[in-house]
Formats: sequence, structure tokens, C-alpha cells
Amino acid sequence: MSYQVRETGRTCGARHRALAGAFGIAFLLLFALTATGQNRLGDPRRIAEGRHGQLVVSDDALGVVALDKQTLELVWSCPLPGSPFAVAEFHGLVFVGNTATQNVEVYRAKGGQGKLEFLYNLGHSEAGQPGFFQLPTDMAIDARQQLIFVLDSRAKSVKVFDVKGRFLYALPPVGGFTLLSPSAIAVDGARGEVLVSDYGDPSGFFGVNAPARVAIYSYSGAHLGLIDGNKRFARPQGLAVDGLGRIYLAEALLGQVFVFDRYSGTVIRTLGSFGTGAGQLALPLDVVVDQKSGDVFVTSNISRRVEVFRGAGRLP
Amino acid sequence: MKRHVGVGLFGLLVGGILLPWAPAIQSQVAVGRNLKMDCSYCHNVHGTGQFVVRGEAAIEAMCQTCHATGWTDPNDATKVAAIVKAHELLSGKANYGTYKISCIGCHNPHRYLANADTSQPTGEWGNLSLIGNLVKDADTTRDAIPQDGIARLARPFINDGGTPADFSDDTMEGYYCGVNTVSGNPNPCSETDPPASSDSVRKVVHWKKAVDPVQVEIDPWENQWSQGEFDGQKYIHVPAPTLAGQRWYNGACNVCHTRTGHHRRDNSGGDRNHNLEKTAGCPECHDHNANKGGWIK
Repeated sequence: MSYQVRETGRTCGARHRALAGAFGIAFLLLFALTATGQNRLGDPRRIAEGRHGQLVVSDDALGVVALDKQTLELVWSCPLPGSPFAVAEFHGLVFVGNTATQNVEVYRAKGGQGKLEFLYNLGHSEAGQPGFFQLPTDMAIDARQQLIFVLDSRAKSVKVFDVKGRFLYALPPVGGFTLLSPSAIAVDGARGEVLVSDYGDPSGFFGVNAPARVAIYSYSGAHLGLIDGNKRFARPQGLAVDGLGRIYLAEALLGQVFVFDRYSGTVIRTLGSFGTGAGQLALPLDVVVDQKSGDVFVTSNISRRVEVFRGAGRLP
Repeated sequence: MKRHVGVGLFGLLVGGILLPWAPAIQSQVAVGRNLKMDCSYCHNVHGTGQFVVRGEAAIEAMCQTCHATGWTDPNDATKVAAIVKAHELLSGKANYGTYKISCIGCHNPHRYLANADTSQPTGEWGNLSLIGNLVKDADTTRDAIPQDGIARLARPFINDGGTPADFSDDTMEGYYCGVNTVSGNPNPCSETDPPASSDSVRKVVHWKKAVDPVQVEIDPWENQWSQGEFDGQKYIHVPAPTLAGQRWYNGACNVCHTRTGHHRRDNSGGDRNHNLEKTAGCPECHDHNANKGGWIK
């Protein structure tokens, strides 16, 4: 299948240029950030590793934002139409799961300064048309195998694509261990595992009466196990996995990040506490771990910033 | 035996005291039932005063674990509550001071009526009641009901008769009066100086609770919807298909937007007015989900 590369005019410059092009709300928030030097975003949701020592963040008010890992200063932002939710970066391509357009839009980042050029929609649905997804709320990329995993929360499935945007398959397979209220996803490339956080069915909506959990699948969709949230967590959101397979889970209700042992499911430690102060989290929606430095970055939605726990990923 | 009787009596006593307040959050989806969440999540039960609210940020976070995350229930009725965030953008802007709105500014966490979806039995589905669900004057005015469970809401100066409301007690949490948007001069703002309907001044008052009981009367205009009674108060159900753009939802908006000098929707004064008296519902243009451009659809 071929696709046409199209210029859409969605281009965004570095911070000093972005101010001119950003619309009203973005302008105000950017100005505040520039003026104060604070890491204050609009409506941050998911976060992912980017290039050039940056993090990319989806922000429902600002679009897609890049932050410097060291300073957490905003490097660039790009307002996008719709409602950007899932976000990932791979070899200069920025993938944005847009819950308004129901597409995963693929952009080419040009020059490392946030000039985004729209390329195509994952699954190759036409631009401007309802897309391949119902609610693409999170995604993860296996760089080695060049696979893109997109969580479609409403469809309760994970859709797998190659880096050229071709749909490969979905999991869980029919008859497999079902997802109930999936919220976010991570992949463990070393182990070939897909981890899905799930609100479960604590009130019996689906007649299951299952607590929140993290479900673990193989890439082929075989159910490998789960981390049970019973009396531990209720609103699991974004996930990350470090090199030792430890699972970092943002708990949106409690305002904490849980670090789990992959095999025993026990909590090794927690990061943060509920609140809007320094080191605190209010509605954390995603987490990413820098594999080299051990820094743990968390989007704190209500406090509108990214919180960093330096070296917290270096566990004994 | 005596000891057992004593324990039993103690249990009955404690149960009798606590039961009236027991079911705090009645939303079926709000409670993480596998996680300990009870009154103390929202209320500092050991604080001074009766059930002091612990913090709106925590309450808002609880709501938004679903309503800001795209989580959907089986009826696909969950709405992303972006309208809260849109209002937050006003905070810190000129004339707005520390103004802030949160979920419980419009929704009553203690009252659970099917005001959005009557296809399900009351108490099973629907959503947390909007303030203004119990009404006096249909569409144009909405007052909070005393003991309605609203921790903080915005309330205008003008009361029903056009005379200043009674702020003589200590229930007023604080208020903010901005500058006159026409003259640019600071606007004198006091309890006895309410804005006239033609004023373009912005005045918002935050209250811990409403002061005056409201006589609940059902306007015939609203009889097209089903009615009922809950805790001695009348309420109205809205049929599910009418949710989008429904004038009924104006009530929660009008607590501020008709009875203050800002963004009136009856064209009676102030800036950015609409002349939409009973002709359109606020959500027809201002979507609960929208988050950008003044949350215009």
C-alpha cells in the first residue's frame, strides 16, 4: 500500500517562533511559561521519550509539546486540531492518537525544533475522515521489532501496526483474556510483552466484578498474567517498564506512581503523593523512565506540569 | 451476655448516627469499590465544623480519573469534563482573581438523580445532579438548595426579589469584584451594592452553601419532563435524547451567567451577552467536552 505525503500547513516552530503561531489559549500559557520559566502546561496527558534529550507530551490545550529532560523547559509546542491523547516518537516520526478525529496521526518532526509535517493516518484512513480507531488513548513502540501498539480503549483492543502504518493484527485474540476498561499501554521489548492498565469492573458494569489490574500479554496475545489492584490501586493509568522489567504505574486517584516487581506483583516502592506541590501528583496520567539516568517523568494533569523524580528508577 | 448486649447497643447507636450520612458519593462509577474510599476521601471528618471538605483538587481528581481520561462506561455516556479546565483558564486573569470552578461547583456529589438518562431507574444510572436541578423559575434562575451538598458554588448578589441577598451570616467564603469593564475604574463591591442588571461589571461570589431556603415550584413550562420528589424536594427528569443542547442544562450555567453582570444570556446587560432567552440551550454552543477557544463547539 502506498500513501501520499501531504503538506497540511501544521508546522510549529521553536519556542520563540511558536508564540506567533499559537492560538489564544496556547499563547497565554506559553507566555506564562516563558515569562516564569516554570514547567506549566495546559492539559498534559501522555508522555513519551523523544529525540535530542527531549520528552514529548500530549496536551489537550497546547497540542504536542516537547520538554527538555534536564531543565523541563518547553522546547517547542505544536497546536493540533482535535484532542491529542496518545503520543509516541520514533526515528523522527511523531505519532498522535487523536480522540476527536479517531485517528492516529503521523507527523514528521523536522529539524529537531518541532516543525511537524503531517504524513498520514495510521491504518491509512483519509485525513479529515473518521479513522481506524474509536478512542486511541495510548500507544507504545517496540523500536527493535519496529512495531507500533495502539490501545483503542473503547474497542477494548490493542491494534498492532508496522512503522509504515500497515495494520498487522489486534489483541487480545477472540476468546482470549478480555480487556474491560483499558486505559493505557506499555511494551517490554526485552520480554516481548504488552502491558495494559485496566480500570476493571469493580462495580459490575459488565457483570464481571473484577478489580482494577494490569494485564500482561505476549505480542501474540497470549495472556501471561496480571497484577491485581485489589485494595491497592483503582484508577491505573500510564505505564512504563525499565530494563529489569519493573513496572511503573501512574495511579490517577491516589496521585502516586507504583513500582511493581514484574514477577511477584509486589510493590517495590511508590513515588509521589497526592497534591499540587513539588514532588506531588494530582491526576497523574502517564509515566516514562529514562533507562540511562533512572529519572522518572510523570504528567500531573491537574497541576499542569511534568514532575520528575531524579534517579528514582535506579532501584536496588 | 451483658457484654454482648452492650456491644450490640453500641453498634446500634453508632449505626444510627452514621447511617444518615453513609452513602456519600452515590455515583456508581465514582467509587473505587475495591479501594477504600469513604466519607474521609472528601471530608476531613475530624476538622472543625461539620464535615469540612478536604480539598477540591482531590475531589476533582477523583471525578477526572474517568472524566478526563476518555474512559467510557457501557452506555458511552461519560463526558470529558473539559469545561472545568476551560473555566480554570480564567483564574489569574484580569477581573477574575482567584476565581475557580470545579466539578462540585455544578454537580451535587450527594444527590444522584437520573437527570440525563431516564431510560434507567433513578439511582441506577444518570449522573450526579446539577445544581439547579431543583428549580424555582425555569430556565432563568437557578438557586442552590440548602444542604444540597455543594461545597462551593458561585452565587450572584441579586436575590429573587431584586434586593440584595442577606450576607449577614458567615457562610460567605469570599468574593471578588473586578473593575468596571466600561470605565476601567475599580468597582466598589459590597454586600449592599449589587450590580444592576445593566452593569457590565463582573461580580462572582463564592459561597460555602446557600443561605435562603428556596421554595420549590415547578414551572408549567417544564412539565414536559417527568417530575418526582426526592428527600422532600421536587426534581425533574430530562429524557435522555434531549441531553445535547438541552435548555435544562442552562440552569447550572445561569447560576453565574444570568445572575451576574458577565456573559448574561438574556441580553440584559454586561459584555458578551446573548439574546437567547429560552430559545437555545447553552450546550448547543458551549460543549461540556470542548476545551479550546472559550469552549465553543
